[in-house]
This record gives sequence, structure tokens and C-alpha cells, in this order.
Amino acid sequence: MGLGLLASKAMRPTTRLINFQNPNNLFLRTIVSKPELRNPEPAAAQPEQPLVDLSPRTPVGGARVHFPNPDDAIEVFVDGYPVKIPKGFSVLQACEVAGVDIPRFCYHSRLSIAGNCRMCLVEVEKSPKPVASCAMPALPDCPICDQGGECDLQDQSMAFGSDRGRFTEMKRSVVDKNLGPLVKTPRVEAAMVNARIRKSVTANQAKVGYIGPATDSNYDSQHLGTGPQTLVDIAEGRHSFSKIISNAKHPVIIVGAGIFERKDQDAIFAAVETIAKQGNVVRSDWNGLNVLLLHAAQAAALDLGLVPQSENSLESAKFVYLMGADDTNLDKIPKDAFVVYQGHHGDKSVYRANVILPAAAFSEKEGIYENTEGCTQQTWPAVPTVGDSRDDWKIIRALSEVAEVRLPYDTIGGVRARLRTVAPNLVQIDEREPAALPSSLRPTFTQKVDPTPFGVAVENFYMTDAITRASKIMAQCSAMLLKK
Amino acid sequence: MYAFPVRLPLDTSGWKAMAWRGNLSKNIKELRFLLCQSSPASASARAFVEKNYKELKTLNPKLPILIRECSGVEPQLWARYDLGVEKGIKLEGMTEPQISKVLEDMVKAGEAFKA
Repeated sequence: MGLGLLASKAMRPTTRLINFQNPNNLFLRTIVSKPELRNPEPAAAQPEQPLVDLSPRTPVGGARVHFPNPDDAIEVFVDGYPVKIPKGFSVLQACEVAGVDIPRFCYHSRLSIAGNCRMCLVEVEKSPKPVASCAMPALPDCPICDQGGECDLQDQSMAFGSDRGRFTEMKRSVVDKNLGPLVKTPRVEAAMVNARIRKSVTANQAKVGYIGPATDSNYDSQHLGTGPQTLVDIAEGRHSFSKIISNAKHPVIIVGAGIFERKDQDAIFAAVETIAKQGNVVRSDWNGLNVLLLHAAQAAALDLGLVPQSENSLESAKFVYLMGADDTNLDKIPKDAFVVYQGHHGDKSVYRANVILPAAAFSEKEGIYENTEGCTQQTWPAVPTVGDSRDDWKIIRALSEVAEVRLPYDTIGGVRARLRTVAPNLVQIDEREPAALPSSLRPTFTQKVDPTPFGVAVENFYMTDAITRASKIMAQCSAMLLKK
Repeated sequence: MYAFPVRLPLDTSGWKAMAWRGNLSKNIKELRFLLCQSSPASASARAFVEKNYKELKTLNPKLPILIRECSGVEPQLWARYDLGVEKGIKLEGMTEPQISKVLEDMVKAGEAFKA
């Protein structure tokens, strides 16, 4: 596609099949030469060529045109050059007769016409977009159907055709600014949230307050405090920000999941819930209370119920199975523990592992992913797997057989059926399941907050997982970040 | 909705009649309620969770009790025992006392699965 577009751009207004004598057409220009093809970008800005003589040019490859019936000859214009061709010739053939070589991949004169490579796109007068010249018959008139509406194809198209694009996502365009070494922004939720907040601040004059270590943000924000005590002050109405929350039309609270690594997590979350209640943050038409998770796949892992069974389970382990666990604190694992690592990017965990089971990366397998909002999405393999790696579930399934505790599934459909009995929301692709049960169901407690300030959740947001740590570009970004 | 673990002194007030409720985590590794947020079929399961979750979680603070809400799903209760053995019961058409009985039977069945 890219090549075809470039070529058609390079050749732009080149091939024009013009109705009659239009020799004074100012768009006349010779067919693009090789150097121009090699440097196609400024095609639009090139100065127009002066008028050239209209003497017939040499057909491509010295082709001669045979007219079985002279009455069937038609005259068309290619780049303003008149050429005589028999009826039924394609635009591409007409161009060849006119001495214009159209680049092509899928077309060959002795093969049936596929018209799918788009390499031979040309502009045709009165046609709204470039056409595949190999598949378009050359006509003296612009191609308009003469059936006057009595057209079977048109009827079928009206009855069964789809007239809407199936592309429903937002198209994202990036203006070429100096974005540092990044081609695209890293897929880090924090960056997304940052962008969304910035948009709210600039577009809606949203007031933003934050609690935690002071940071430089590129939007107006108020640093309310550094520790849980500020939350308690807001919850108890002693802080000026309490009013701002209760006066907000669409109040939003974003809690970093880092609080769940603290001993006083329940007290902190209770303070957050009190703020949410007093500020009317959760209503029937609006749920503004969000927990922002720190790791990829954390939402899905929680949905599956993958929570530690006991504290210090790692410190006392004899056998550790790291299932794509690249962010585990390896120092906690006893020296004599047997460690299995299953994953793809070969991060630091593989150096500790006794056995490495290479798994397919996200780009190599069919998978379901849940984002931090709880919306699941389905992916398909984009590239073949490398080496001996296998899909994660197949590795587990094979191990279960060797260990004589065979798992009851051996197809991806079977895995999904199992998912349905654990967390059915995970197989509701592209859906977000609302939480209907109130959080007040949780047991009450008598804990108090610990005044220790909140820490920094993400030290280096360019390198937050095994994939970004293995990336050269992310390494360049971090170097720039650390220089600041 | 995620169940956040809580450390609490046990409330033993209801232990006489419902002693089994405090023994959930002895026999069971994980309890899962699957239910629809709005369907009539899930209404009694939802009511059971609303009325009993707090007590069950207070009595069994370390037991993961997962409540998975998903539109259109049949109400189900699943218990996971040692070594990944699971037992699932469909709750459609049951009353709240019947659901409580299902849970009690699941806890008792756990004795047999104990390794």
C-alpha cells in the first residue's frame, strides 16, 4: 500500500484520461522520471513543467497496437498525450501505449487480473480517488454507469451492502513534534491518565489536587499533601479541597494501587471511600472512583483471584514458579529454592531461574487482555513465535500432563470455557461490567492510618516491565529522563 | 469488585447456630459467586451476597471470596478445595436459605477433599 501510494503520488496528475482535445491543460507534465521516484515526497510542491510537445512517444517496450476492427479504436489522453487504443484496453495498457510505464506487482499481461496490490494506482479525471490501472478499462469518458439506476449491482448493494465503515475506533494522528527518541508514546497507563487529566484541565478547567511526593506536572494542579493524613483531613471536612470535591459536577478520584502495598491500606481506602461518599463521587449515573493499577495484567490477575495466600510466602518457598513475573523482588527468594521461569523477554528473572520455559510474547499469540478499566480485548498473532516458545496455556497444560494432574482443557476454547467459570467478565470482549454491589459490604475495621508519606510508585515510567526494559528506545528515553 | 483482606478480631457472636460459617477457610481455598448485576435469575444470589458477605468475610478474613458480576451470567457458587478440586452449583431458582444450605454442604464436602 505504502509503495503504491508513494508511486501514485510521484506520478500525480500524470495519467489523465481526458475527454477531448485539451492540449492546453496546464497540468500537463511528463511522466515522472526515476530520480523523482526515488524522492517522491515533494511531488505536490514541484514546479509545473512547461508545456511540452505532443508528438507521440515511444510505447513501453516498443509495444505495437493491433486494431482487429478499426471502428473499435478510441482516443484517450495520457498526461495530455492523445493515444489511440482498441476498446477493452485497460488504463495500464493505454498508458503503456502512451509510453508511460506503470509500476505493478500483481499484474502480468498473461495472468488474470487481480488488482489487489495497489501499486499501479493512477489518477483518472473525474474519478474521486486513484484507481488500479490494471483493472480499470480505459474509456474516453469518465467511468459513469449508463444503466440509469436500473442496475442489479446497485440494487444488491442497497439491499445487502454495508455503507458504513467498520472502523469504529478513534483514529489517532500524531503531529511531527520533537518527541525525543519515541516514535509512539509508550503504552503506560500513567502516561494516558496524565494526558487525560491534562485535557480535562485545559478543556474543562478541571481542578486537580494530588497527594504524594511533589511532582512537576504539565497542567495546573494543587499539591495537597504527602501522606494519608491529608486524606483523613479531606474526609473529615477539615481541608479546603473537601469543598472543591463536593462542588464538582463530575468528581473523579484516582487511587494509585501502591496504597495496597501498605500495612494501613484498609484505613487509607476507607478514608478514600469517605471522601467519595461525601463528595457524591459514586452515583447511579456517574462512578468517579478509580483504582489505577501499577502492573500490566494486574486487573485480570485480580479478577482470576490470583492473590497471595499468605504473607511472606516467597521468603519461605522451596519451589517458585514465575509465570511471566518479571517484577518480583528476587532477593526475597531463598537461595536454595528451585525456580521455574515462564515468560518471553528474558528479563532479570531468567538469571535466577533453574529452568526457563520460553513463552510466546503478546504479539505472537491469541489472547485476551483486560485493561485497568476492566474492559477486555482480544488479540491475534501478528508475528510467528520465535524459537521453541509456546503459548502460555499450552506450557501449563503440558506440565499438568507430565505431573499427572491433567488439566481438563486442551484447546483455546476449553481455556475460555474455564475462564467463564472463574471470571465470566473476562470473556465478555470489549465490554465493561459495572459493579452493582456497594463497597459498603466490606467488613468494618478499627485500623488507623500510618502517617508515613506515600512513596513514588513508578520511579522510571519509561521502563516499567520486561518489555520496556528490553527496549533500546526506552533505554534512550530513560537516559534523557535521568539527565533532567 | 475486589475483596480486600482485612485483619480483625473475629466476631464470634453467631457461632453457635452457624458454626460452619467460621470454618470456611479451613476446608475451602476460594469461594466464587458468579452473578448478573440485574437479572431476576440472579436476584436471590445477589441478596445472599449483600446480606452475608460481610459476616463471611469477617469470620474468614484470609479466605478469598470472589464476587464476579457479569451481565447475563447464570448465578453460580463455586468452591475450590485443596489441589485445585472444584465444586460448582447453579443457584438459579433457589431461595436465600437454600443458597446458605448449598454453601454449608460445600464446606462439609471440603472435609473429604482435605489432603
